Amino acid sequence: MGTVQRRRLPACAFTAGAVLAVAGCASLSPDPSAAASVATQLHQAVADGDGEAACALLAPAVIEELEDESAADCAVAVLEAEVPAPSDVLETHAYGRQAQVTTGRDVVFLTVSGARWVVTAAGCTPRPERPYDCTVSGG
Amino acid sequence: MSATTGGRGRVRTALRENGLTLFFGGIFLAALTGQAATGVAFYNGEQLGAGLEPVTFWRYVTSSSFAVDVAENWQSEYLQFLLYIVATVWLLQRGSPESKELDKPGRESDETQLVAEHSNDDSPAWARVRGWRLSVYSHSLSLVMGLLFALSWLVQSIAGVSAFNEVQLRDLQDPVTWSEYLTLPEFWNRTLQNWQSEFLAVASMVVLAIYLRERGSPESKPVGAAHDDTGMTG
Repeated sequence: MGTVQRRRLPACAFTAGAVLAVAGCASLSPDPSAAASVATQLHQAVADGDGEAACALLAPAVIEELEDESAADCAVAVLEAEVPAPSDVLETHAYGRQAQVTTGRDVVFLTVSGARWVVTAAGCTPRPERPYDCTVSGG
Repeated sequence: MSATTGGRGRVRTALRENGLTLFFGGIFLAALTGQAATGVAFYNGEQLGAGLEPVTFWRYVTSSSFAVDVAENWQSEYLQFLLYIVATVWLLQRGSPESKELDKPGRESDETQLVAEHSNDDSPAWARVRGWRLSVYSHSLSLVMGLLFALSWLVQSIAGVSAFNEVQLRDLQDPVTWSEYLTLPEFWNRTLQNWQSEFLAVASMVVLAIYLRERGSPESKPVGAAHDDTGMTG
């Protein structure tokens, strides 16, 4: 496996007081390593041709966009969306309710849904000074 | 019965003698609660607009988004008072009750300041004897205000980069490091928009108090005081 670097700043809260107090530091997001796991599962599900499993990992807005664009069920559309094959996870960032997982072949973006991570974009490649170009996204 | 009456009297006295602190402490908590309530509504509006899940009130008030919004205002308030405390040692304004009298710029004499051999029985212990304690205590107000400013600004930067990066990831863009964030317009715009309002408020107070009055307020000159009377409060 490749190197997984996790950098994360906890979301901290202030408590009101007569003096400045930083207290109640708390994280809004699940374990960021779980985000890397979800990204890997998506790549693997698509590689296995298991569209149902892949769609179970997608955010609702992504499913809606896939189905609108292809006029097919998500389970079919996601397999045609040019999601790259599984690859080593190189880096993971998580801030608040969002995460970014960089693999050897693409970048995957995720958000918190309930107590788990779901994919908001996959198959992403960088563009200078612009958002990533993604083969799967919420539009 | 007399004990009850005495207890009520003590409470009434305590309320009267601490009214200023209690009033501002109370409206601070009310405003902070209001900020949290409206903040979560605004945050959830953005979440839903991006096709993402809303968060609970508790999740929001423990988020970096809420922390940065609070800290950016706190740091500017403490900076305002820090500068005001220190600048008014030397800088004067003719006619303003916010200024010292025109012949008293600077640190003033030990006699005026009631320190060391000029202290009295009611003077704080650290003010009575020369040495490092007197040196520290002589600047304790600005030191604490400065520390609170620095801490608030640090928290703003740490919570700010986390909140900024959360939006970056939501918009399918790369996050930045803390040191990169300190060079971004986002950080300095948050900072300077608060600073300018604080500096304007202080400048307005200094100048308006030359000509305008609020009867009975120690922030105002007596109503009948001349416009060029300086350092007078009533």
